[in-house]
Amino acid sequence: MSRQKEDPVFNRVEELRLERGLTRQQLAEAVGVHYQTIGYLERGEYSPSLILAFKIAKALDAEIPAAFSIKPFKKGA
Amino acid sequence: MQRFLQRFLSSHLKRERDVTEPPKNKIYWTEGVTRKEVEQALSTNRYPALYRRSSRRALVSVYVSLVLLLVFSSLISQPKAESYITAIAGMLLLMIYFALRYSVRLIADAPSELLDERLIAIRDRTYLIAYRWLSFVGGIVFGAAVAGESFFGADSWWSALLGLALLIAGLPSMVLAWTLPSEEP
Repeated sequence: MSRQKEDPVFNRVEELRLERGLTRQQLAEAVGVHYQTIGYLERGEYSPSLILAFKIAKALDAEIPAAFSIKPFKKGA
Repeated sequence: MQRFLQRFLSSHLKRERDVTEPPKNKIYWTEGVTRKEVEQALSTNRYPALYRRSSRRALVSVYVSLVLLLVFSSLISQPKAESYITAIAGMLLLMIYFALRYSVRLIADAPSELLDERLIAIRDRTYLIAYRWLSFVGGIVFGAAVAGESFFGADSWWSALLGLALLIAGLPSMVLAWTLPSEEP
């Protein structure tokens, strides 16, 4: 069983990205990944490594807990 | 004097740039790809139909069929017919081999430094599955070689060998093409 199925990591990357007016491509370039990886991540189909999570949080000017969580985010949080 | 200084500085800076700038394209000999080729394959959206799961699976099906045709063409007793089949199937296989690699954006062949962590994980998992399939295919080939003289005892068994070589070469891309979901725009 993959890590993905065992431990889902919830995130608010799409919400934060849209708030900052960034496209997937722009965010992908900022953190050095393929733009499809951002899509997978936003849909919850991929859990990022710790280093990628830090890079994304930094690029979105947010703290890690504001962007990623092991519990689902409350709506409108 | 000013013109000289300008010329000196521009030539000096150009030489500096030549030394410090990394080469624009790099050939990865063992992977059989170049940096530009991989970067282009990862970013292009020129043929969106190629990145659909149905198209990829169709390519895999045709590829496997052609490999089987090549392998079993060595059983044909007429040398002329066998040569024609081998030549045509071999050429088609090569074309589909390249299409297959591009349908998975060269992920199966790209070096780690050109991929991100998700793509590296996909590539590595693909090689594990491909290796398991290779063991299975290897077992069948070994069994066929032991069981029947007619299989490898044929006069020109090199077409079967060519088929197997192309199967091994294309296996990681085939696994990836079969398992990857369709890409979202």
